[in-house]
Amino acid sequence: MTLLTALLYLGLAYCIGRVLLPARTLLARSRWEETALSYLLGTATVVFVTTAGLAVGIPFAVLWWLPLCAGLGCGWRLWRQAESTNTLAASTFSKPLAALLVLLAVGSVAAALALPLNEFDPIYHFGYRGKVLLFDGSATAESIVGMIQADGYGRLVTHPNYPFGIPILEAWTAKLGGWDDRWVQLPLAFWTACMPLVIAFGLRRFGAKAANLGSLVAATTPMLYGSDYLAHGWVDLPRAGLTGEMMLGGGGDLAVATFFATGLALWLRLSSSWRGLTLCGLALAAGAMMKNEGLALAGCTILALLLGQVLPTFRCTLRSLAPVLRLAGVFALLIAPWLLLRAQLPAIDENYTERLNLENVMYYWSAGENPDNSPMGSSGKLKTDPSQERRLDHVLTSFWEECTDWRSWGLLWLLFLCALPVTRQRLANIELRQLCILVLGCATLYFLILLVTPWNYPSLRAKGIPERLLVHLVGVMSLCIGLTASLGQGKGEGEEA
Amino acid sequence: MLHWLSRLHALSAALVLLFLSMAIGQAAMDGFQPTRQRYPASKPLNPVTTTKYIAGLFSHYKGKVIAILDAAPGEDVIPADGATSAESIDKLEEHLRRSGMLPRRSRGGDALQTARGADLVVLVHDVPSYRQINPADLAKVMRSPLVLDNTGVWNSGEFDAAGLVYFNAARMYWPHWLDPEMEQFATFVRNTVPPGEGILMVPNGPLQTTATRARWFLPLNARLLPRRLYLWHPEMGTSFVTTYYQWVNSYNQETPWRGTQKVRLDKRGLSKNLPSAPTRTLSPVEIQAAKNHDVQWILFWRHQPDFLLGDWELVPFTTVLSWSAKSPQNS
Repeated sequence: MTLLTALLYLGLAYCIGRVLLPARTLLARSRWEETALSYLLGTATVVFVTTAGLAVGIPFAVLWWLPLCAGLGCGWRLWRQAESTNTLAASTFSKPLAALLVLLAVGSVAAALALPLNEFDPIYHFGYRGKVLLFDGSATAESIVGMIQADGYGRLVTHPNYPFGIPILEAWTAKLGGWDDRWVQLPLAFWTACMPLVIAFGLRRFGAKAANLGSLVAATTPMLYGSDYLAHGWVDLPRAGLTGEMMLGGGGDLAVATFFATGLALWLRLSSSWRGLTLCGLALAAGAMMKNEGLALAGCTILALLLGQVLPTFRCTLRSLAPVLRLAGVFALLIAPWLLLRAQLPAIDENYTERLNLENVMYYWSAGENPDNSPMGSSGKLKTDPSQERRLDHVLTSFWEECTDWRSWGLLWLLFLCALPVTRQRLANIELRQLCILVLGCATLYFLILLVTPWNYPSLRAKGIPERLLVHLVGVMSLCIGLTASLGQGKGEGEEA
Repeated sequence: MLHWLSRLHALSAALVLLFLSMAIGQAAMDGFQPTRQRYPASKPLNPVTTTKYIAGLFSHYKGKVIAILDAAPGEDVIPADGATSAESIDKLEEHLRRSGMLPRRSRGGDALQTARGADLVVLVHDVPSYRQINPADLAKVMRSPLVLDNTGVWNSGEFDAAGLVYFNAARMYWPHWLDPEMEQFATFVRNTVPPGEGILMVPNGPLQTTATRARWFLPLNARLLPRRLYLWHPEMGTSFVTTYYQWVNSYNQETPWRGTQKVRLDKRGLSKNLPSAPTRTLSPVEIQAAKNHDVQWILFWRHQPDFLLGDWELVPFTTVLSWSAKSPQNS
């Protein structure tokens, strides 16, 4: 029954998202691009509406009906107003590329579902919240907010102020058939499969070559599936998908990455219309409702889009900045429910908004790790830290090691460097400027966040940081690479009306 | 340049496809469930520390018979990469003998014959016939009911049911939520405690380890919802690893168990191991906390990296309150 509910969800989300998209004659896309985009926008809508409902205290049992009713209504409308398939644009993919993308997509979905929830974050951070929504029906139930009590005894919950995007999808799936650690992952199994299609959609206006290259680069980046595979040699071979290096499944990082890429793809295609900006803001808001990092990424996006418009000449008009300001306004409206809900949740750790200040950055620029904060020190086994290395060196080294790790990234970072707007022709391209500033800005932000983290950095490194943050940038980097490849060639099909 | 590099990057698809096919294929071979056997094996034993560990299990260790279950020389053991070498076992034997104990090795032979009259059975190799040994048969032939598992393959619940005291000396690399005894205990609690009722988790005394694996309250909490679990300062215990260490240190410094008394049980909920019950009376602060949060059950536990059924006991709060009332008799 849980599997059937999950399959029903896929259909409902598709219908909702499909209705939100402009007509095919107005916004050219292939069937597969449309399917991926519809699913993602439908999911973003479900997450937004349910979060808004939870924020004002509506029980999840009531909110569960909204996607069902809305999805059925949208499905009925699609059936009544069926657009001709002739209006769909042709796919830009060659047959070999399409075959490779299908193979990777099917493989990623199957691998995500091959095991039930089997990682720390999916079980404790997201799965637990999903169960709370299912059983307690509220995001502000004691099982989430009752951690800190006056008598020192409280409820057990990890990161109580994590967003509810993934738990909402899991709880929705489990509502009819009960909680099933495998099938609650079904709505979460399509992030990797959707991302190359969303990139192809975003780059379509720059030509088939750009779309194909961007999709290929994204789809073949190992980080979208797992990291560091075979890093310990062939002994890793049978352990694929078992360790903390697995990205597929019930975690939140791929969801953030995919919605972030979706928002930017929509920006590339539809930034001139209110509808497009709303969809773009919806995708960015959905990313922020999947994991807290999505909020920082959306903030960086607004800033990068503004900077890309202003730089390098510093000449701009309010008219040229208007779409970005509109997007900022739409995003602020769409993220408000989550911020309202988050204000009701205890923030016990990782308050980076407060922590990321000049004083902390200056301190950690020269300071080493606090020995009392190291695993050995805080466990009482070691009183002094044998490592005198500065945290700055630790973080710099780990970023370098990460970005040059071909097992996790292939040549993605090198490709991105090659795509930077260093020539006059590239610099003249406003979208490329914006995307490159965005990637560099986000990477810098993550660097600074890790520089001032309250945790012991080597311990974070051992737990897969910074790769689990940098994976958020895969889609945007692929857009940059594809866009750069298109420069010097004619415009593509599907310019919007 | 960009196109050429992109094609080179696309070769990563081979690694991705290998990853996906292995992830799916291996999962299929295990019935699409995660199994402990696919994780790295525990580390080989260290003869010196293992000898000290064994000596620490007895109040008087001299003259104790130690049965070592090891593979026949040259025989493959499962899994081969984590197996203790024959040289290490020779050294263990030598250290035990030098300490005044009487080691005896099976060398791939009959485990029950080796264990006959032993005070402790030590499993050092994952030999299939030893893996499948019947604990009840072992209990019948041993002089003292102690087993030490250095491979992590035995199911401690089965040994507990046979009345054997099980110790795990293996460092396990599979995630703690796959522990079968934890799952067995969670099922027991689910069947005993109705949904919605509250459970206060109380350590039996000082927290004896900072091993992150010992945070059994995390998987239990996820499995027992919608039952309400309460813990002392969970904002520290459930947080990042270094904050968890601080939680252990803080608990031990605060000594909430001070002034309480150990309670022996005539009958236990799930475990058959009466002497190892982690039960004790509650301090006034703990009693007040239980009342504040309207809990109906107290879950006592011993903080250990391996989940042993004997280390856990679920008791109705009213029963625990009655212990406090007549605590001198129970001390």
